[in-house]
Amino acid sequence: MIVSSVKLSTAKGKKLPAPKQIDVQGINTRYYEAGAGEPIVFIYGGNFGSSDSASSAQVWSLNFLPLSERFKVIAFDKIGQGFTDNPVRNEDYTMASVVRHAAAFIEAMKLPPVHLVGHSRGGYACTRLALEYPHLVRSLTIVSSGTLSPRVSTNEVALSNSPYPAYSRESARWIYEGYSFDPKVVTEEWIDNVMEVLNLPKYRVGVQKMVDEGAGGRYFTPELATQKRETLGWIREGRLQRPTQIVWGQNDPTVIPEGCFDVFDLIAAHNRRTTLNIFNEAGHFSYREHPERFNALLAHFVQNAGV
Amino acid sequence: MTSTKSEITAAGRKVSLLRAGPASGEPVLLVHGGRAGVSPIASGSHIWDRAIPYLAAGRPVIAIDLPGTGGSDLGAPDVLTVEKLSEHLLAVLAALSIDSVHLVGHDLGGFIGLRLATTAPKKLRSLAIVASPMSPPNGDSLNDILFDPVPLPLWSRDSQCWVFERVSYSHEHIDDALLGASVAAAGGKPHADAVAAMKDEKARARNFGINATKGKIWAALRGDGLSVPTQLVWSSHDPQAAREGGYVLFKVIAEKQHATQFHLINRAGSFPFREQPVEFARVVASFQDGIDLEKAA
Repeated sequence: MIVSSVKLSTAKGKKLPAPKQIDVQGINTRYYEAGAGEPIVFIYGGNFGSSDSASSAQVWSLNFLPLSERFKVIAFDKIGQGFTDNPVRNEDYTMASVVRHAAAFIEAMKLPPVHLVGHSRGGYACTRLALEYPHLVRSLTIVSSGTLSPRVSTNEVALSNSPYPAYSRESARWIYEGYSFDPKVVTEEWIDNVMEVLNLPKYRVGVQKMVDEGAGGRYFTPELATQKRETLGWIREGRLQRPTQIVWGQNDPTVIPEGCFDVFDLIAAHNRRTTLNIFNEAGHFSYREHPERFNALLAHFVQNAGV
Repeated sequence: MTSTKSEITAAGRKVSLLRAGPASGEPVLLVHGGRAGVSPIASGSHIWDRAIPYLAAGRPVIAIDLPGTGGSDLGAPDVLTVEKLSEHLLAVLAALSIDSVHLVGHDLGGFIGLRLATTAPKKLRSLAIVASPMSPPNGDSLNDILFDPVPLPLWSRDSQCWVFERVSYSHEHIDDALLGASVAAAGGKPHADAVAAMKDEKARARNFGINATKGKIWAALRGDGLSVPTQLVWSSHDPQAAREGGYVLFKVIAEKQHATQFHLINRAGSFPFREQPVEFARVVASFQDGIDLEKAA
């Protein structure tokens, strides 16, 4: 089989379609969908319970529409984040719930095995999903995931000492500018989307549960610590058997760049189709900082996953 | 997809090349590695046969034989330096009436590309340096014992087969087509001329002027830096081009060139474009597509 060329255009002048909603095991889940062809599902980063940054599916806006020219693209809001319902019980504020919900979403959408693209915490989630639910996954793209990296993460330093109050526009901008190599990539539109989520009453309930009621320390952190040990063990055992590309920003303040070599070695030891790809002048958001080259990398990867 | 072999004349030399892909589009120039007359593999454009179908899916591809390899005349033997070979590439582009190319260079070909990126940046739309052990800073490197037990006679089928295996992750890509073409390249007059030229002790000691050129390259990189978008494609199991070297070179270039990328291909040795042709080609083609799109945007 010979690959065909997969030339895309830029996101310029394109707008996301209207969001849709689907019931996922009782959790009202919001998502965007466009295009036709091999399905690509994006899983963004971040977590419920953050009062100065908030990811939502719109963070993929620069990738979503150009890639929809060739593929079926889907970006959804994770449980407890964006415009998707919060977990019902406090003890469900965990990574396990995030992964379970993401898998149930893919099943509810009745998709054939999907090409998962996960960033940061989402990079961990999609890796775990590929291990727990391999029948749902066709390929894996892991972007700048300190959560998956076995090395130390410097994220807590990058997030510390904000000069602005929580929930403020200035604070959100300060966070995302600090995450990016060039602060100019942080557009007003990007911050508009963050602020829209930060101002949702249900989002603030999540922050209250995680921070004020202690669900973060009681449930999320210990569950992730246990699960991460298991996940790295599973990868070392060779259980991750899907074409995998690792994408990293050389200037990411949340992880040390050498961590991506560890992730590569862990996966590549048992998985022929593993590549590592490092972007220069890219912080934590390579897919927004260099969308043309990121999209081309992803398009060629998805197009050739079966070759 | 089939490649078509043809010959042109550039700066008075006969140059043999392969062409594939569509007639229009930003072209790719593939520059093979090896040191003509010295390396125990008779390299040439044939080395790219597994990657060309993928690379040429979206754009025209030209793979050349460097002087003294394959079907390309050696001409004056002083051409066997990085400086002269990079000038030769400019003559080839002029003869083909091509303004600029996405250059993909392996081994010495990658180093020649790096030199061109400092001397004639407008001719390169992008540069891919592939598994190129002489391109990164080396410091006081160890003596190279990799090929010490090479079976003789040099450039025989058995000898070249051993060398390919020595530097590969898997022998799977070492097929009749590769060995047949490598033996044929070794049997040609250009190869014989290069071997004769390299019998000269001074020519051997010059070692293609690699060290002299490196000094100029570091000065250029620390000065204005590279203006050519550059990707480095290294392999997980290359006994010649260690990943640390590629990553260090990435960091040096990245200080001044924003569009720099580093890639690692799994289960490949010195020939990632043969051992993992699809993984290699998609990484390279996506960089070229992305750079073209960035320039258009």
